[in-house]
Amino acid sequence: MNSAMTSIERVFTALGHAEPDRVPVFLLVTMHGAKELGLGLREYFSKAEHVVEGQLRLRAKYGHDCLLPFFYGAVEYEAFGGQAVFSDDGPPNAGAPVIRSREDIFALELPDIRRDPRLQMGLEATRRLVEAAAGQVPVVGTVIGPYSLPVMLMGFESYLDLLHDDPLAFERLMVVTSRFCVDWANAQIAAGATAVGCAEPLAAVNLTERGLFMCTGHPVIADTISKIQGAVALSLASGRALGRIDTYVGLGAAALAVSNQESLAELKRQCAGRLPILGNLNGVAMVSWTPEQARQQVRACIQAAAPGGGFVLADTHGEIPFHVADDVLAAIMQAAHEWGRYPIEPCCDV
Amino acid sequence: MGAAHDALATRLEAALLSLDRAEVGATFAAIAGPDTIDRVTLADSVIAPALLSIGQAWDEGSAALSQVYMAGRLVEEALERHLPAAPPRPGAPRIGVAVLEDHHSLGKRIVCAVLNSAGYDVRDLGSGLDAVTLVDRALEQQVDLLMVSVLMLNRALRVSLVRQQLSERDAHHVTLVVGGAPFVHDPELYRRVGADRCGRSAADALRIAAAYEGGER
Repeated sequence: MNSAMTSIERVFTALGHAEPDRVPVFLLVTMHGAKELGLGLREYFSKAEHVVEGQLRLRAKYGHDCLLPFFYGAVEYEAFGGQAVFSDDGPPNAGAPVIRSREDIFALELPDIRRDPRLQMGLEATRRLVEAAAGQVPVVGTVIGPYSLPVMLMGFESYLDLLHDDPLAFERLMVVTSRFCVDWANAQIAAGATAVGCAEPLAAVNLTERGLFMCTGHPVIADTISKIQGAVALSLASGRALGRIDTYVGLGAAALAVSNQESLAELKRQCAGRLPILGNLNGVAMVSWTPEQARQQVRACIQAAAPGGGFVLADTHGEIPFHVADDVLAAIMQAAHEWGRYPIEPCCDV
Repeated sequence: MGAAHDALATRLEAALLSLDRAEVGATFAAIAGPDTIDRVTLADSVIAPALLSIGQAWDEGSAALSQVYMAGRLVEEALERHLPAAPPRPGAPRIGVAVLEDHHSLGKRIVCAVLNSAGYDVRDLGSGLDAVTLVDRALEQQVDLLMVSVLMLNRALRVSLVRQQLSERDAHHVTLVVGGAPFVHDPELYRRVGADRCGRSAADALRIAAAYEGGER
């Protein structure tokens, strides 16, 4: 298939382990819309229409293959009563933990998505982007996975203590975070989202030891994904995957977002025909790339992973930093058009 | 005692990686038994090699962060039980550890645990600090090595404000060390923000402290 495809055709062909007209690109620009609108990040994220307009302008500017109704990850922490910390130059971050004791876990209430203003804004943005996309562009929602959300809710070290020491409280916590994840993902699917990305950094090889993960995270994530009524792309948010690919295949995800810390060619080899991959441009290094460096990085990724399909070019973390320059973003897309036309011969490793 | 200490370090590492509390305790009991050794010898010959090896395994991808964290925690627990009143290493640098503008303090917790276990004088300066407060606390505590942990890229870029604060207060004697995910993903970033050193892992924190102790600034 070499005639020009729509973005949604391109993405679905690639996710079906076939070769579309060119490599699809998920340019995951969640904050650059604020620059386009001349707004600060706090104001930008205060209204659905800002995010919608920002996303549409960015796609008109760069021509990438997705639209993102995503606001910021800490939206879900806010739904549980947390106070996000805003800054001028990066995504709002989770502030102080909302779970401070074991008792808080057993008293934790499931947020009501219908009554949460931030989540409702996300759904409104989803509906408007779906309408604007007119079936031509995938609109990709986002959830924080049930196994990783507690890092925001209670802090990483407290959560690791819980994982190792308190199976009863862990089980109770997973009941709430899994149910919330399912509800929030399904609300986005119901609003028209084509698929959802599920961020589960704690599923990564470098974050949780295999035995711990298989006893704790794997069954929860598999159960959660099975209840989401649409395609789920599992993101390890820059975490490593090699050595655990078989377990990820068993989770029922439609795709896996992989790290720049590993060989993309090897990831592709192990996932080929089983699990499409997204990756693996280094978002942090991208901040200091020249346009030419961006072009070379894109070329290397494409040559390592694009042959045969099953590959979407994206950054490794799932959120391109606010500091990345516009000419670098433009160079990424230009290189994808230049080097990403199928057929593509494998060449080098990344 | 070299071979005996090596064997204990290997035994301790295996017990820590498998989260075998009983074996960690038994190893410490063996160390602190009839031929009691001092804290510095213990740190240098048994604890630090075990923790260094685990930290290096994480850096190379063969151990997980959950193991690094639990190793530090288990060693701290065992030290508290077996060597509760050990003084810090004589002549070693005073180390301050802080998180810049963030409440995610796992990295700080791990670094504090590992350095404490190795016998260093470590001051926890806190989390969620802006550059001014962070440097205020570092100077109040008279630290020689200031280790700053960050989670997000925009916070990493603000390490330059910490450097600026240190310069404006003529604190040129303080060595600024940074760690955290952004510095792992971009190994040259620490130079651009004005840090003197970068630690990819808790093992690097130990190496940097030891190098400073050996006269490297």
